[in-house]
Amino acid sequence: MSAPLLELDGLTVALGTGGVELLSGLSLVLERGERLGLVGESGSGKSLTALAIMGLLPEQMRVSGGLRFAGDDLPALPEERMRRLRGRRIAMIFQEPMTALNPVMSIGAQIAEGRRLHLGESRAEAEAVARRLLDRVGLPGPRFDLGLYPHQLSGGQRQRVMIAMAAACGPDLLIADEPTTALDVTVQAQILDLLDEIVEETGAALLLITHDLGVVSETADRIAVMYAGRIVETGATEEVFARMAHPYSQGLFAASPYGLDLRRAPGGPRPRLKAIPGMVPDPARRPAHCVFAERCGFVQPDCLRISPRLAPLDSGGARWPHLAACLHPRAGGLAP
Amino acid sequence: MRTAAPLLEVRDLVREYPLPRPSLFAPRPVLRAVQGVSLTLPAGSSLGIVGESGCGKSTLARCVMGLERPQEGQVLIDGEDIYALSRAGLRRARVKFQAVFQDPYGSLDPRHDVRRILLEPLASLQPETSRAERESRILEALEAVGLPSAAAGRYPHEFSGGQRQRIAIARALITRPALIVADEPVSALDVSIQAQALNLMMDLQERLGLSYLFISHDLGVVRAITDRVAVMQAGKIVEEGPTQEVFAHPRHAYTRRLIGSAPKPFSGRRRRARAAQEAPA
Repeated sequence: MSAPLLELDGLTVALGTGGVELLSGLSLVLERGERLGLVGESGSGKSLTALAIMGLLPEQMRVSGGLRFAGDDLPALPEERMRRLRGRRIAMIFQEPMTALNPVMSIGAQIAEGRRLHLGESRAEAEAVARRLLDRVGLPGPRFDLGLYPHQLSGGQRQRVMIAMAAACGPDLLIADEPTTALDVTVQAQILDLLDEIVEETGAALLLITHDLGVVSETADRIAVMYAGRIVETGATEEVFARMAHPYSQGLFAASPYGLDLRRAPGGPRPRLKAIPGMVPDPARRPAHCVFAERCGFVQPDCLRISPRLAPLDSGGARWPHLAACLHPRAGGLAP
Repeated sequence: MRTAAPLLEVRDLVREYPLPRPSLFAPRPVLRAVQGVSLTLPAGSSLGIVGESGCGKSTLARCVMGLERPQEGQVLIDGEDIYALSRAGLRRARVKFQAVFQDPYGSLDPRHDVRRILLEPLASLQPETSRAERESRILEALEAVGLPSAAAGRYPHEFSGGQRQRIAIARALITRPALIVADEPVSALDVSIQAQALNLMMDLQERLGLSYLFISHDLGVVRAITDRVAVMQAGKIVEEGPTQEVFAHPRHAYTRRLIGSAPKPFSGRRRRARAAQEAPA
């Protein structure tokens, strides 16, 4: 059996050697053609996970544990070889197409750059491909000429250019970090559809990072919920949404306005959202026991002693087992 | 006695921006940001304005706040046209309506402590307020948003995003206004913190009888906090009605497209843009 495309095996990222842990023991496997949604709030470590995979962590951060791409140990790879992977086999789509695109380089040159660099194509060859890619992402010529600059495009159009850039070299893994957060809902829907189609056509794996439960539910086959630098629940999207075994997953859903039932007694008060009390703990002050215990409505005495590991909730046998890092996983479903 | 006018009434508001001439002798094109909008907000209720970027919702908010003089139409607060008032008259009227903005990082001066930030509206609108009254107002406002009185001596950088938005709300409350114009007040906050801030706004509304003009691109948030909602597209209101009604039975095609495009948990994997186009009436 060949090595998985992407394998995280207890991936840990710390500030300096033996310093504050920002990511703690992340494990997951992603194969071509799969769509995995990484969900969490700011500070949960989801963007850091993406940067670790891309080999773009700041100098002072130390990686330990397993992080392999097609069998290669990424942290051990010399920068020279990492550079050949980035943009070629692992490509990234960032949140802000405004800042992620080069303002003084035409969109055609930016899309062609990867192919000239990685595949050694001539300018003419690469630009012919860039033209086809722009057509494919919904920016047809002659209206959307290769010579246009990012400032001449709207936010949604810029995000289409980013997708064309990311897809240019036919990567095996696409990482999209909040690709639609800055966009209006109708544009967001178009961009997510486009991303979905590109993944389907190319057979690449998609790692979709988002804070939006609705976006993952509609896009990912599988989700991983992150909190305070670890995965607290993961499984097939439908199963996780049907049960939400970890109190944080439940809390995140209940706090979002989606979860709100508007019915109220005549003249009665407006129904409140179920806010999660407190705040995400500072990485330097994460407890040794369950990281969510202080905010959890179902906390038990043992939660304040033990740090739970991800454990299976079902009998197993499923392609993606449903796992939760909770000593007292919730049984009840949330689905309306 | 005057008959009870609604707290806020906007009549046929038009706000245009002249654009640069495309060539030397060409006429100046005009961007019509708000094209004849009328709204009514009764005291104690909340009205949401939803729409996508560029639809004119923030321009409308700025006109209501007295920050942007409309070319046509009126903004009446308690029956008084704020653009017909003298400077002094506007200052007196401004006590009744305050604003909360989106960015809790950009809207608080980092060099001022919380006490000074909170006092700013009082200092400019009611400079005659006595020292003792100011102190009690600060405590009242901090208490209302659930911050300890010790917060008054601290600086914005010492607070989290959610707490900063509480400070911005406290600042809006300090003049004891009847209306708060909130432009994307919770958009920069994480879901769990956003829920805390929205609940706080609902609590304050019930306790103090506040009215909100709540501007947001986030349909879920607007659905949670407003009684009525107006959907704006290209400077015009295309649909307006009770929030539950509009969300359950959107009439205008654009409203249906907005609601259909919004991602929803439990919908399973789907192609969204197409689904939104085909959303049932």
